[in-house]
Amino acid sequence: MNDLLLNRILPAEHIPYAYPFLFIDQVLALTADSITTSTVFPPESLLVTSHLLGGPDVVPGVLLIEMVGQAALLQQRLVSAKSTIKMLGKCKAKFLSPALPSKPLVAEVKILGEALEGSLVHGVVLQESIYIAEVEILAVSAPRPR
Amino acid sequence: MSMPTQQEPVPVSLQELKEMLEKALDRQLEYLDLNQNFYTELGLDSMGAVALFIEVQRKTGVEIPLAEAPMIQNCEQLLSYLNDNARSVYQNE
Repeated sequence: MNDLLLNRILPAEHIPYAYPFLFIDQVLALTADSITTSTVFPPESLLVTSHLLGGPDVVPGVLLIEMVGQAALLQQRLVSAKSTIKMLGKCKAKFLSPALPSKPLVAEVKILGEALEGSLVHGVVLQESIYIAEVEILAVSAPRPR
Repeated sequence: MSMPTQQEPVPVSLQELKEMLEKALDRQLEYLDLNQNFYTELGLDSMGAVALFIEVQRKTGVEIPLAEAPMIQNCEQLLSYLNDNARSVYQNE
């Protein structure tokens, strides 16, 4: 998909998240089994200012996991129009460098496999070409409401 | 008959199956009993089932549709399914 079309994608139109819990600003690349997204956490965001009190201001690692998960869901919605809501099932994450607010965080996410309406996803988060985090998520379909 | 390519599915060995099951269960198995029920005897939960079937698909290239997955309750049934469907893919080449 060319850059012009990617720029027109509004993530909020495709995935069920909204401010302050939508962690994709832009889609940079999209293929049949991968997506690359960009996100900037504003320094004044409560998600940053309340972690850690007194500094340093870093983006919470758990939000990077969520960012990868949202990117994977967006990829599936864009490429195959799958509407199944997925939730985190199992997750492994490594945090290699602190993620800073104000600068773009790029998530390179690959869908490794799908079965039983679940998916295995691998994502790497970078900031200015520095590896910030590596995440592997097993997402499962959301249970029906009770 | 066309020559097999690197992309064609292959059946999985018992050792590979044991390793995949252990990864899905998140624990080691003393031995692999082909007739043990994944769910009622080995304690595989829904997340584990997703992990197992994804891994099986990645290793063998055989897709297991959602509608057919509930009929696969143990390793013997899984191996049988993989062998039947690997053969079907070869015939369709």
